[in-house]
Amino acid sequence: MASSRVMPSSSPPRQTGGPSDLARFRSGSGIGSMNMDDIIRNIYGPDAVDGGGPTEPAPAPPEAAARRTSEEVWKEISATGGLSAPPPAAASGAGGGGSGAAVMTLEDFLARDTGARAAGMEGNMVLGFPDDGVESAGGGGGRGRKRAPMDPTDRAAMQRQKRMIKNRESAARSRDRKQAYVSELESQVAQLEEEQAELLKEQEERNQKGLKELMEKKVPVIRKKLLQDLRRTNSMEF
Amino acid sequence: MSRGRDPLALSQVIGDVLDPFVKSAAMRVNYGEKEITNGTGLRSSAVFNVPHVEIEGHDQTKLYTLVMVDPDAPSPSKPEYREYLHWLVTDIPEAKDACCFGNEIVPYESPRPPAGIHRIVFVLFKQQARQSVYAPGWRQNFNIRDFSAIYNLGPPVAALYFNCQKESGVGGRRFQGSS
Repeated sequence: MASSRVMPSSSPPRQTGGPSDLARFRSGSGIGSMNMDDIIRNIYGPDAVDGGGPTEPAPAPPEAAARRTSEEVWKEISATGGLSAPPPAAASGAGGGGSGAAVMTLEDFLARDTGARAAGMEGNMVLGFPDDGVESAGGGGGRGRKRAPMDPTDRAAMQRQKRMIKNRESAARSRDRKQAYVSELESQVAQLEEEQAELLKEQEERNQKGLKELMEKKVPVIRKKLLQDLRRTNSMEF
Repeated sequence: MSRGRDPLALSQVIGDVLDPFVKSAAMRVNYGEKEITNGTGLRSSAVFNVPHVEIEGHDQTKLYTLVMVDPDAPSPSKPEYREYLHWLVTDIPEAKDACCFGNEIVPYESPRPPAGIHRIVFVLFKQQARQSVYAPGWRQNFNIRDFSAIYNLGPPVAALYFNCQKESGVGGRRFQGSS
């Protein structure tokens, strides 16, 4: 029952395909100006724009991306953060204690993500830390750097991305809402139809019963009358 | 595949607020003339007054507890106050209106979502016996699962939710700077 809200068949592949989801986003051609195809290409690999990519979970052409529930969206985002920002204890202090679980908020994810990525991916922010320490140091530096020296272009890019994620979540919620509403309507329709059928049946039965009773009452009446008539004709007064 | 699934599951009420349960009671919730079904959309003005809640049945010795929470407070994208407790009534007998015949532990506060479309959930528990329940110190961050565990209420017997948004509606163009 617990898995009823996530389609079981596609859940495991999604998790493994997921980690590079937003990673590709950032490390890809730059956030600059992306149209829908670019976004999809970034998420699902270059093959996915027209067909299905090999990394795709089974039933997922690009349209299916749109149909993921809010639950799944967050699962992927959490998986991204959890898998690529290593020792969660070290780097995710910024996450406010988020351990990659769904409790994490958007802000926390971005803060942690910024920290973990900044050292590795964005070449224009050179930290000069050795590779080993890049995680925790980057995390620490990233944490502090959340507000301070950010290029306007960077900030705009981050805001844009933030908005995109928020919008995606909102869209997913809206779809869930719609589905739930339709599902409720359907069950109401089924219930009402059933009720109507029963009421009609009941009405029909009552009619039949009434008719039958009427017929039964009529026959004796007629018979009696005939007998009386007969008797009367017999006993004439001559 | 997604058709005919429980609206409570589709809307993540099962998940965010409740664990899966088997429905064993029927309750009717009416705001004025309007009967609430899962996913009904209402604005703040429609839910200003206490609703009529009636549990179907004829045995007035059976008692129920009703909890009304908002898991999307203050905003669905950042639900920091999940779950916000709007109403808590205990010792409601079957076939009687909750507003008048139950024990109102936490008074009804009408939902006024500041942002987004919130799910407002009514959860019904069956009581083994008349019991006293203590009001929490504050309405936010209530947890129905914990509440049920603390007072040994077991799984819910019924649940119902509707969608609520602020009076002026959500969506549409915003003319001021927003993030």
